[in-house]
Amino acid sequence: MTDIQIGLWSVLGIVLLIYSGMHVAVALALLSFLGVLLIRDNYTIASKMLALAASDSISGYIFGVVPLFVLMGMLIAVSGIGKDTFDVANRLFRGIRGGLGIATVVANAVFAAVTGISIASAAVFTKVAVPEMIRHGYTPRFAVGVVAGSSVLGMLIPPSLLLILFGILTETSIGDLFKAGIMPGILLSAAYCVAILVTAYRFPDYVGKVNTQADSGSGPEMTFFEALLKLLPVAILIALVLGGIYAGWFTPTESGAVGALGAFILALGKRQLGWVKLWQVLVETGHVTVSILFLLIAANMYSRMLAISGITGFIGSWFGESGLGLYSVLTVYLVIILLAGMFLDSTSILMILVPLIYPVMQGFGVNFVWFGLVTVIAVEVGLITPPFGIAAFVVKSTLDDQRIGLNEVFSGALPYVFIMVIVLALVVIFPQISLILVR
Amino acid sequence: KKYKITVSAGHPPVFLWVTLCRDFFIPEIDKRLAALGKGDTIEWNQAYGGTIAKIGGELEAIEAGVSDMGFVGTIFHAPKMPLHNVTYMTPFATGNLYHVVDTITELQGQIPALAREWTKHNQIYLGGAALDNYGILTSFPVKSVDDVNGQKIAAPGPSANWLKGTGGVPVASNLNEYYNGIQTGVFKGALTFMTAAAAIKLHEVAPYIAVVNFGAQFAGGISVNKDVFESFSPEIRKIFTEVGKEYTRKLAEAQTARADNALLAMKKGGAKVANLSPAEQKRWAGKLPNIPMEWAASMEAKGQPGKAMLKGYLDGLRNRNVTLIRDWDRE
Amino acid sequence: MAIRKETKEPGVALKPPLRFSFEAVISVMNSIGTAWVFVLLVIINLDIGGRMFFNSPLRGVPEIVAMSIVACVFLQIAHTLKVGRLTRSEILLDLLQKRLPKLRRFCEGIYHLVGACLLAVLFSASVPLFTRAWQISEYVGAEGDFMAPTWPVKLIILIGCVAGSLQFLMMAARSFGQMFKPGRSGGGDRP
Ligand code: NA
Ligand code: NA
Repeated sequence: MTDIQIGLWSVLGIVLLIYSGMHVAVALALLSFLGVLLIRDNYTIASKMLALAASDSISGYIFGVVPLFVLMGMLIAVSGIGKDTFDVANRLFRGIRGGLGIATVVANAVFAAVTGISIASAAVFTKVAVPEMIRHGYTPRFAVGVVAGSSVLGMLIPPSLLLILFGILTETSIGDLFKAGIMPGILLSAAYCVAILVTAYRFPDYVGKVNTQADSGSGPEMTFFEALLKLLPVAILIALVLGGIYAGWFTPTESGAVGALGAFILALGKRQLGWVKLWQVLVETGHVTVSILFLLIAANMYSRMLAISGITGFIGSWFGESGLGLYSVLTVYLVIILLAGMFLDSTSILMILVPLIYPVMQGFGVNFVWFGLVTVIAVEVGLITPPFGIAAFVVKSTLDDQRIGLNEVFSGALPYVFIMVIVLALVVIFPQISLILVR
Repeated sequence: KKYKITVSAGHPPVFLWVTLCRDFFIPEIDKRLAALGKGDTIEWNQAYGGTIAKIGGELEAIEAGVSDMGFVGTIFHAPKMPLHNVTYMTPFATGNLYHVVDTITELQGQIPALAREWTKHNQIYLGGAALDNYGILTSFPVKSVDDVNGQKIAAPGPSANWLKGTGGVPVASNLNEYYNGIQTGVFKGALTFMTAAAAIKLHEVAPYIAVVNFGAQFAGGISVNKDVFESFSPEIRKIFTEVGKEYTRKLAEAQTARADNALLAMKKGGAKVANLSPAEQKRWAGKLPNIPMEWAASMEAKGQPGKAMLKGYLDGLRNRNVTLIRDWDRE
Repeated sequence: MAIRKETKEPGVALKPPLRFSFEAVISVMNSIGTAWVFVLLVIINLDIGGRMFFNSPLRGVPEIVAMSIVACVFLQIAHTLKVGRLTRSEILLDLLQKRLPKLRRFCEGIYHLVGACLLAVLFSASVPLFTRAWQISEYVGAEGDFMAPTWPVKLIILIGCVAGSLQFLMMAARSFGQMFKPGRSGGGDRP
């Protein structure tokens, strides 16, 4: 077996082992180890490779802020500002058919500007928006669907953990990636809103027995001033995090720490955070961080093995000689991501596929900021596709309502999958959508 | 005989020391092997851009045999290769990168501890690379050392020492963050070399370029795993050593040319370049504590020949007719 | 996202058992890692604040943060594993559960054994990295500037490997054990 064949077989092995239930990180580490062992025929080299990857691959400032971005999301989730944002959006869209759905999308988009993880969005809005919608006659399927669907905004609109990871994997400026996420995020939100409007007027049965009375009677009454007051905390956080980056108080890398501190103070101020709760949030942050970063270490072992096998260079030159154009390669790549997204979590997909495609895309000379956005949108589709869709899982488990099953969530989210794919195609065809805000 | 050699580098091929490894070192070895006519061939697996070893992880990767050969950035291995970092500890030495890289290469034979920094890590040094003269790019004019007083300047690692006593505030950062950091005002300037500054178009946000003459810096070298090297026949070893020497020279040429072009390009792009006069350089150097001697003393305390290394380096430069702004080792 | 909602043992880390046991050890390790994230939050903000308001950043923050994160991961790996939060896809295993529950247990046992072995390999290969860092007093930062030793992190990597490997072994033993328990088809370590 040639080195390149070993590399190729390892890809198959990874897929098999992961789907048959081995921990993703263990599968990656195992095949990296076996791969180098076969290629170099030397146990010491193979084991040293693992050790070097473990000590080098996540020792960087940027990895240090991963837990802080996660912590920020968790703190914001407990702070109650998701509910306030929703209340205001709800008031704003009163009188419009499907207004609560639109309010959910808009509130999610605003909320996304202060959280870097989609599970935070999904958990918060399941608690805040779903009961409200059901109470006003929306079908449960529509209600959970819109929450799951719009939770993806959490990692598209900056700050975003996925964009950070992509930046790390490809050494692309995270600041630029963040800027590039804004327009596609707004576009996707707008597309969702339009779709909800159209559905509400053309297929009212799908949305539910919403009538004009329901349209106008939901949510607490509030004056303009009260609305402003409710939006103040989230506005301050957005100003602090995004404004701070633009104004030059700190770098995008540091914004996680500032945002986490802001969210911490906010949660304290709103009396939503005791010692026990804070500790729970920190423990949860630790577990999420470890599962992401340990995967990152294992993925790094795997990409080192692939490089040692020479397959990385081989794939690059194969694509070069195959005469396939950028768009053919990109299409294949995106379809693979969408398929992988059905079974794998977003971080794993990024870790496994990006190092493989990286040299190929470098060969095409693409703009990696644009490519990052394309990749992240495609990866995010997987958050809401069955059978493994983490946003749907979070919605279901946060709901605590036995009448609404996981299938209900997935089928409710299905329309948003199609919208995401359309937006993805638009971002691919018109790179300006993502690049317009980047220098 | 057929050899399989995996070559790694933490940097991608846009950096000259990697470009020349790919476009000169490897083809040249192939050419000379063919000319040797013994039927020896090498199958190269080239993995650059950190795919096998990250920046700062190259030394260990070659030591362990995970990679057979590669570019080791000595500047990222200060604890393991302290003597190679003498240049960063000796500001205002020379802006001529031939002199820097020639002197360090020459010292490999004179100071055993220097060569041991490679052999101790199971590898053989083949050829070296230096970075072009460091200066300072700022969003405000710098005409003398007084202008940096109270200003935040991105100065990672050892270069922070070059601001000691000037009143400048060194901020830890890295090349990827300079542009955004200056644009947004996290800091007002950066200590860096011109090829890097031009590559990230730093002059767009920091149009004032002061050629302070902090000096060209030894950055690292190509090395090969010792076991792999010893598996070669004497003729092949000779080829590697010779091509390594030529690589060093070609790289110095290319880097110098690129530095000149970088400064020109930035000037064309609207940068205002100020060459600090020797008198001003002397004032700046005079404000600094004697960093090189402090470094040498701390090396000696660790059992390393810091004083001999410093003297060797500065004497090497003096022998090449460099007039030092400050004779650090003679104070 | 690598997240699964955990409902079975909320606050598992809140009540550290008092007696000395493996669980207690990994719980304490987890707590140290957890608290450390808060320390990072504080020092990064101090650095930003010092730079903004007093023109005097904290030197060494990037180096400390970069080192800390490796330490945090290895401090918390065993506990993360224990509470079932390490990413895996259980679609096929869940299908298997219905038809051949014993085969599921067997597969899981094998997977956990593999995990234990890999962490053991990682441990043995990481020992020299620790001893070298100790011997040459390896540091991050720069001479004359901020400097911090790296050996504590290398040591934590070793400790984390041992803890993780033991945790994997215990999970493997439990999986194999459940194969031979009559009348019990489900349960296990996940809800
Ligand atoms: Na976000
Ligand atoms: Na999915």
